[in-house]
Amino acid sequence: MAINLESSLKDFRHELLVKNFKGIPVLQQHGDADDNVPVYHARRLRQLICQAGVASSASYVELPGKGHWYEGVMSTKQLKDFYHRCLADGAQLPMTPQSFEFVVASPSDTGPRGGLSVDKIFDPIQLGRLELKCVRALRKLQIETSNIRRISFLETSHLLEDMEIILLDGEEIKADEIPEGELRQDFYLVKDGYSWSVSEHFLCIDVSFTCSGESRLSIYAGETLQTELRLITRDIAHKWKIQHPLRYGRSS
Amino acid sequence: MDGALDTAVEVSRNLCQYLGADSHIFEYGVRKPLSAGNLITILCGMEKIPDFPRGYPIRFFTPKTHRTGLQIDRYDVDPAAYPLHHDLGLICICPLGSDRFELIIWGVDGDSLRRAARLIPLLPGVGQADFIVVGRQMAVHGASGVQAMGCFDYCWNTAPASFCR
Repeated sequence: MAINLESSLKDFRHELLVKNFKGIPVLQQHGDADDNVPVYHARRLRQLICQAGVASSASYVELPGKGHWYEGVMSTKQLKDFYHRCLADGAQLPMTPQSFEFVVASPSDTGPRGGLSVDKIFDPIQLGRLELKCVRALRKLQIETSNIRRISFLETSHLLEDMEIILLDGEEIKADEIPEGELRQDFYLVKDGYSWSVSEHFLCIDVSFTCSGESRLSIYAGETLQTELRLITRDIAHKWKIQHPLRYGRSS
Repeated sequence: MDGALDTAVEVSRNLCQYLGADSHIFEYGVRKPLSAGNLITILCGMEKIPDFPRGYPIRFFTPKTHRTGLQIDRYDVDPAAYPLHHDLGLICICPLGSDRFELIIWGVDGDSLRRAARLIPLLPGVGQADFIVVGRQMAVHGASGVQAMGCFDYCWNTAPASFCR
């Protein structure tokens, strides 16, 4: 039971998610007289950022004698300078690092990284982890995953630019199998068991008859309908008291 | 509607107070729910049990020789069963399709319903399991008094580490 309680809080365990900060401008500002959220937590987070090796784009400011909230806290000189650096005319958005680690506590609460989205994880109790390395010379995108079932690339992602091969947990997938532009929203990379493949949004129903008069109903569904299909087949097996589970699989 | 209406009004008020969220309250089964947005279903009593989606791992059952009970499918072992006794309650999240969700809160009586309703997530930074079967012991032991607690995986199976007493 303790595992379930801990797992429920993992979305807020920021110390586990620090590696996601790499290459993202971060400003920490905290009053050292804060009696609501003690400054210890800001110092601890700063320590973790430095230990994770992602401090190059992160800065830390402690405000002497200041508490948790006061008039002017959102417009200090340090904050205004930070906003100007990031948002002023001519300011350049930071490039996605060529290699990074992506830690996901809950896919529903986690946005994409470099346009790469982790959509589903296998075990909700554990973290999902992904290590990405872009080898431009070989036009290869190398991705190692742990506890991740499905990923997708957003329309705006530049990670696949000039890439020929995506090496996912050692398996080769041709980058041109994933289309450009708006069509990307219907394509996913899915891990079923031990192998990865490209899946798209589709549903196909086939009825066939054998020579002995038996009939067979086959339903093929793309990744986005797999959940609904599993729920329906599980319900049918339960209601009809079928001894062996209905077999279903993804179309080749 | 027993204690369900009072609980629904309080939930609606809390959603507005803490999340700035609008909500409509209507009687279960009388009016068709809106086709957009999420749903919170609040039910009370043995006669008003929730209607779970097909294939959902939690269900109410009526075996031949026992009273109606609550059953939870588990990974690799027999389902856990909880007879409907006087302090049983449930809070769980279900898929509604089209990326919508339903939060179901049910209690066998008013006290159980209120106990389960206290676990409706309203504050940021506070985690919540996907399903919790509550009992009277929670009033004394807190989280240690749950009957069952756990999460669902990507296709709505109960996660292997889910706890069922």
